Amino acid sequence: MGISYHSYIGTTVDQLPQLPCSTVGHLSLSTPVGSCVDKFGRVWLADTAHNRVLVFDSNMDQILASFGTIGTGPEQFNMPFRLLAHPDKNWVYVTDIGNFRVHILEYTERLEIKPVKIFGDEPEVALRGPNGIVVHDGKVCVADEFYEGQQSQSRLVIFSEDGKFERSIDEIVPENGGDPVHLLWPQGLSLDKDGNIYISNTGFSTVVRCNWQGQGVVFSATGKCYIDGLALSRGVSVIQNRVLIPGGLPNAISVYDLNGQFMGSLDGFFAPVQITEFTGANTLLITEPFLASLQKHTVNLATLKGEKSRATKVLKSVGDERDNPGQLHFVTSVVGDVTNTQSSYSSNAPLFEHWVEHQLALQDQLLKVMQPPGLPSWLSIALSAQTEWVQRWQQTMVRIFLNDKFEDPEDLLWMMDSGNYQLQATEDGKSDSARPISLPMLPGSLGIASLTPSKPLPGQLDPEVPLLVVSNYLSGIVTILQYNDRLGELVPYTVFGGLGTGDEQLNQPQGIAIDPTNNDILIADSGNNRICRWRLSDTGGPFLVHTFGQLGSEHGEFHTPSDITVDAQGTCFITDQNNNRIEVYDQQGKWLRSFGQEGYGTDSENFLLPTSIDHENGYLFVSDLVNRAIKVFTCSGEFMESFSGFGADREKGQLWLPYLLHVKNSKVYLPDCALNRVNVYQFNI
Amino acid sequence: MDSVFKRAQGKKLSHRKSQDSKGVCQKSEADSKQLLQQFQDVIKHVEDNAKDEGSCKDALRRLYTSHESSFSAKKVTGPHE
Repeated sequence: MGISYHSYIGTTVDQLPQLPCSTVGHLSLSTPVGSCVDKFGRVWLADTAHNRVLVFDSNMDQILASFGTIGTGPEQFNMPFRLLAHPDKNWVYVTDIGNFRVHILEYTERLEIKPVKIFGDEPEVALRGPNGIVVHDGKVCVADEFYEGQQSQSRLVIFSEDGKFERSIDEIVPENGGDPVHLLWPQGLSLDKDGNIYISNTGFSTVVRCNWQGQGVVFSATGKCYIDGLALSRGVSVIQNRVLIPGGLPNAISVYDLNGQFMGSLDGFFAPVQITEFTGANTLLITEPFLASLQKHTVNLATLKGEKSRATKVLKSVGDERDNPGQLHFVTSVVGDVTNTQSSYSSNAPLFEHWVEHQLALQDQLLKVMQPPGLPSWLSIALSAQTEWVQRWQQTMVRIFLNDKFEDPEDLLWMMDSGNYQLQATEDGKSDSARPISLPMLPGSLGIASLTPSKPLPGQLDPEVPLLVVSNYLSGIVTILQYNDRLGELVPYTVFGGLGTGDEQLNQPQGIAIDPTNNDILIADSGNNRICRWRLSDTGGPFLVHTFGQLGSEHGEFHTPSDITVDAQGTCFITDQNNNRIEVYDQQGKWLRSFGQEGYGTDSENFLLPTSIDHENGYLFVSDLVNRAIKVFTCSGEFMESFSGFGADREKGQLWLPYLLHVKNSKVYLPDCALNRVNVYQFNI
Repeated sequence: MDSVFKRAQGKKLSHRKSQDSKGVCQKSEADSKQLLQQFQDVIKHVEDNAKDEGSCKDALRRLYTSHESSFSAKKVTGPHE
């Protein structure tokens, strides 16, 4: 038996015209993470999934330079992650997380860029995941996210500013005594004016403060050397004597003072990661990787107090919509199969369609230009989403008008293109073959499953084409869609659920499975920490059969169940994500057994945030997020085989944030929502 | 002392328990109910007017408009905003 990489689906749009060029209309970003400002006021951005660093003028009107390609050479990256401008020298540090190393790039006023040093990959250091980086007083500190210490803790690594290894910090000892504080998957780093290091300690959802000797510096408001009670901790920035924590509250940036006192929050964000102080007064650069944008905001942090929330003002946002033909944006799930070698998608008026695409692109640019600077952040994000939504609707109407459709809708691979609010499909699985096939979807649509009723349901238009069941993470609504041949689109057949904690409600539903023995719909109701079993009656009406599970870590309990699959006997296998295990239940919802435990490893039953599961021919396939591995098990839990790879090399099947996998006819389809493509793997038994 | 993984799991679990007691956001729940009702209205309309393509498109357009308004009403954020 073996599992190997085969191909990918999702057009890459990373070509730039001759530079410098306008940022409008030329800048398709793929999950940008880090940013910094150089000594000449220019803005540098890590276009992470495109494996390059871009440089803009200070107004972000022009792209001035692009540096780097995929690879392991001196001018190459595999996921350039965080950027840091040296305060005195013309250097920019780039953490090259997929190559386990750090670059120092030297630049001139004329923006000639050359690599001067690569460090961290030497054997005596062997970084395992260089992420956040800070520099102070001739030293550099790097957060080594996936380093595994003696107790599996991560570490900080100290170098001289020109990259000579000095020492590691494996634990933080609080200055007021007590147990040492350990790091787990530290990401962003920042410094205050005294040179103290702030660490976003992702695995514990805390922000830790220490000095360069690893001594924990206590926050007076908490008596601890860390801030906790955060929803997420994936970045931290100390700006104007405030600690800014993107994602500390959902869709917001939490703000604390230097004593650890919560001051309030900045709202109107999606999933911000990196905040960088800009040269202008009260101006911040904020990356929104999943919106594929870099934004410039203004806010007076000194006036935020009383635990209130407030909007920032958006001065500028760059990054085109990721809606070119075949392009995917935050693709989350897949269902169906690729069985054809040729596409029979008929575009009846390609010239007209190209004209429409061009007009929509112009419209998009016009709307952006017309959006006045200084809009509140929540209104800016709403308007951007609304613009995209309007375009999806216009494109749908054009497709219907032109009768553009797939000739064999029963024979497609369907992909949830969540960031573009639509389903896309392909017949031949070629990299640029995805085409839209649905009316605009609700924002937050994530999981899909296909359902073929044992006999046609009343009102079912084309029983040859499976129904598609779609879960919506934000609204808790599950929609069952059917194919309307006249329109050539998917339209709603029935709906159920809705947000809440009641029996018939759902909260953050993710993966969906169909029980092959009776066509029941099983939903990983992750926010309610349970599994829900629904059924369609003979009249097509949905009703709840039962739910099982509750929040906890004992058997019979879940902590964020993210996906489910059901085998030919009706046995249910569930990824219990935050408990790092697979839970097995019978058809009545009775716990049978579990397997797996927390731990690093790509070829064992160790898991770190197992996220997705499917099965075929008696084998289970598990996507193990932090280990970036697809692991194959027998249904009794015996490890068989795996594929693994961390990075953004599309020729190698590497993974960054793999989401809900799908297995069909000896192929594993794994959408990666950060790399914006669906990887296809083959396995042989 | 438990492993780092176990302690991290325990910390996240206790945080989650403290958050769960607050329940879901009432406003988000009400918005979701409204959306569900709009879906059901459109589905019924399409069922009753299956042969009238124009009418069905209009109903779908109305559904779209209501979704669109949910953006402008600042409902794009998560359930625990």
